[in-house]
Amino acid sequence: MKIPNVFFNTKYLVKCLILCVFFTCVLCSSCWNYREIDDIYIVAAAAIDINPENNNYILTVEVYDFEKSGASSGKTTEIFSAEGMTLFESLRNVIKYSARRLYWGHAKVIIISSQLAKQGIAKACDWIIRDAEVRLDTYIAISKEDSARKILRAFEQPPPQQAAKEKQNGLGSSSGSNKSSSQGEEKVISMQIFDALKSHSSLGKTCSVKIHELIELLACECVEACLPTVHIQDIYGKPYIDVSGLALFKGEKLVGFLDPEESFYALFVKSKIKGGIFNSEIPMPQKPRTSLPLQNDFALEIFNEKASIKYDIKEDDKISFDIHVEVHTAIAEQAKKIDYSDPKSLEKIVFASEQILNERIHSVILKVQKQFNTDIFGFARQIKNSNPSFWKKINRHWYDIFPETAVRVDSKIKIRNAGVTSKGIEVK
Amino acid sequence: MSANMQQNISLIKKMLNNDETLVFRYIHEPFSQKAAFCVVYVNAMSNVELICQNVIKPIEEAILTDDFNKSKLLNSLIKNNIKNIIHAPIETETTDINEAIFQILSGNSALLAEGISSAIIISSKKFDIRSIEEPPVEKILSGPREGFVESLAVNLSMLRRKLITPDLRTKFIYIGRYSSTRVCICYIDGIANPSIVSELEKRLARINIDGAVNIGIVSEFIRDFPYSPFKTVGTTERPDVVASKLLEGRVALITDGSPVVLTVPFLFVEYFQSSDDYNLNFYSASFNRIIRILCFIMTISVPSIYVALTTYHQEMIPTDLIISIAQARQGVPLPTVAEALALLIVFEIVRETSARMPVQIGQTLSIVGALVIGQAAVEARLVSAPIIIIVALSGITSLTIPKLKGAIILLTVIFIIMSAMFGLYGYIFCMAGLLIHLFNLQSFGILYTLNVSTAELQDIKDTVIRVPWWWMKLRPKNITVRGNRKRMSSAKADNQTPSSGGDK
Repeated sequence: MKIPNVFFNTKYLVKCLILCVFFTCVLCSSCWNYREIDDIYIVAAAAIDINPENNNYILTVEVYDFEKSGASSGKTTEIFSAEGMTLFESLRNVIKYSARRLYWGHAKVIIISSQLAKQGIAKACDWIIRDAEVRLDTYIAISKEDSARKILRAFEQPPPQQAAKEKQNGLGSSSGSNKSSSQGEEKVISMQIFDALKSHSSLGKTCSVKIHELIELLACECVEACLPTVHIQDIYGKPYIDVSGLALFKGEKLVGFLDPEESFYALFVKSKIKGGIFNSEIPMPQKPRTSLPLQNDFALEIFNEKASIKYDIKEDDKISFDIHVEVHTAIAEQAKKIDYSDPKSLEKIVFASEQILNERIHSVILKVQKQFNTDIFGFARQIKNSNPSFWKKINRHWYDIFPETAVRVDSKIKIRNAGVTSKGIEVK
Repeated sequence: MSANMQQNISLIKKMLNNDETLVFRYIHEPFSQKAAFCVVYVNAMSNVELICQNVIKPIEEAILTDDFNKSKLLNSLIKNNIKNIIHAPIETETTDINEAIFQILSGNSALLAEGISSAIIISSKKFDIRSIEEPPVEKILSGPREGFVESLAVNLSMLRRKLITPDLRTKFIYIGRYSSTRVCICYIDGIANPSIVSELEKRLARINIDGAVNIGIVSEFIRDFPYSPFKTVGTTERPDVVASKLLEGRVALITDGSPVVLTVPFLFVEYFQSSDDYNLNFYSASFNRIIRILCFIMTISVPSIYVALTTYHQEMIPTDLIISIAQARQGVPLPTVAEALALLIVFEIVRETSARMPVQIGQTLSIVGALVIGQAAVEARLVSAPIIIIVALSGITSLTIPKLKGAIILLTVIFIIMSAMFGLYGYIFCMAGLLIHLFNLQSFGILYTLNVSTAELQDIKDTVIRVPWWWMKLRPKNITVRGNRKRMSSAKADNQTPSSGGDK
């Protein structure tokens, strides 16, 4: 029997080739993991801690709980913790308690404890960028509490036995049997932090940083990172999540915190103020500021702000920085009746506010320079960009120079309007 | 045929095996028993009144009013004047007995005469014809409400009323060894491409089948790419649609016994064109077209994208949505793909049932469909609520283009299976395959879809959008004969009414 010569028949060959191409396409694509949506736990937020006893990572995740939450009762979450030598091991150890795989595609926030941040965040970030599931636009925040997982468990009222057990074990080793569900009208904490970070722009007391931005900042030699801080505020016995203030980094290590007020003025220099309220006053030398209400106080609502940093190198290689801040504002609130239609009084307000703003910004810069010695403002970037040869000369000992550089702040405030009324309330 | 009438009659009787519906009406010579003429017809197919009044009566009158020389009279009568004496329309005269039988069986009557070796065929067809109604599957909002009926002659008359031109050509062909279905090729000379006409004739001549009772059989034999799920031969029941397609250079095929008329070549855009588009304002017509095209894409894409997203690409679903989907899927035993396929089949069952069942029990179906399958199945956690929405969406969108139904169900299932196997990658793979297939198709040598490299601006003016008529100055390039493409002599007519200045 003669076997037909298949391989030299062009028609067959073309068909085989097309089939090969088809199978190559199919088999070489990396889309094999069919998984049902209800077989995974969708992570909403994660908190990364470090166990001080053995330097193990403790990963705490907040996952959406589908079984408990019906269509009417809204979203509820469950929280799991697990410990591991590496972050990835602790992540897999979570399965011990959760019994399902975690899915990271919808993680909104990753909170890092300040203890871990003091040791360096680069290692933790490495897993985040290496893993395929975690998105690079996840927000990252630093916990000001003694552990990051405390933030995720802020609303939790642990049942009595478990509370006793926690006490017994101490906080550091509470890795096992941590599955605890929370009842009542508690909300999803990750959503709260996420929303707070998104809407911070009209407050201006912290900034939001996504992971890819953090990676860039870590890689940049001339700007240091600063991350938003999160802590729990007890108001009338009820815990609230407070997202404000900044954590300052030097390299990958946390060096200190700025309180919300200081953060506000620090962000002026970084051109990151998109809104917020600037409180100002007209100084009255005759009367010291004692009595309330202060007759001279007024508030300016900020619309936008732009800062430009200029530097000057003197003959002896001494560097000084000139920061020009331009702020567009409107009168938002006032105590004393000021006539805004009068250019003279308007000028007085602007002059007084500019002085105050200069002073406050300058004091924050000084604090960052002297106390933390970290260049979060990107002063070095100005030098590097416009004078690379000089930067090469000084970059070795930039942090010897940085605290000593003179900084001058010069702000321009522009008042657009006085709201919908030009007169204040007349009190007779 | 022989000159002996009795011999002819017995031959016909023998060939038709003494068919009892056959009627032989003899006309005798005066005062004798000798039959001189015979009219043969089939009962209930011929107009008996016409035969009596306009054939038999004139002949008998002529015999009776004649003088005494009978044989001389009859001879001259038969030889010269028979066609002038009878009043009924004469179709033809034949000497072939088979031809005569064929004519008798198709409703005409044959007039045989003693001493003559030919039969005069009288057009006496008369059957009951359904009245002209609006075709139920091609309902429109505004425009003519008439639809084709089962009679070729009536259909042709409806077409002729719309196109009063000597250039409207009709060619008749018989198809089927036993059915002898009469088929008419219809086109406008000077607009239609002669090569398409001759190709159609060639393909029709190749059909060798016992009977082509239904138009679908003819359509399946003459189409290109017979294995493709997409039609390459158009069908319509509307005379206005056929008329406008003829004006675009297409060729129509009207079959006796079917209200459906085939048009070739059929291009992909014709699925989305409706005769409403030409009666409505061009803005709404264009919008409706876009909606129809969107529906086609949605009906094949929505279930497969849902399956792909929920089983492979969970990160692409917004967080709030994925949580509600996951909540709805809690406790549902079937995997998402099986759910989608099962519900799709259930939807098709409901659709098929409602298409075939009597109208009176429609309510039962809607209750069973809506309550049992929709609500109860979700509450019993047999299926999740989102998949019902998805399948319902796919089902509703598939009904916007009823002609595409056959292709759509096949494509939807393939798309879902590929998406379940390879995620969005599988979906894109299927979509690419579908496009390659569509670009590959041809109908009578005309590309099924417009090709980017050869399309002109003029070609796309009646595709996704429908531009005003005065913009479509040329006939379709691919279909019509070369060198005669100008549709109108001048552009937009100056319709502006003179401004009424004297109002004050």
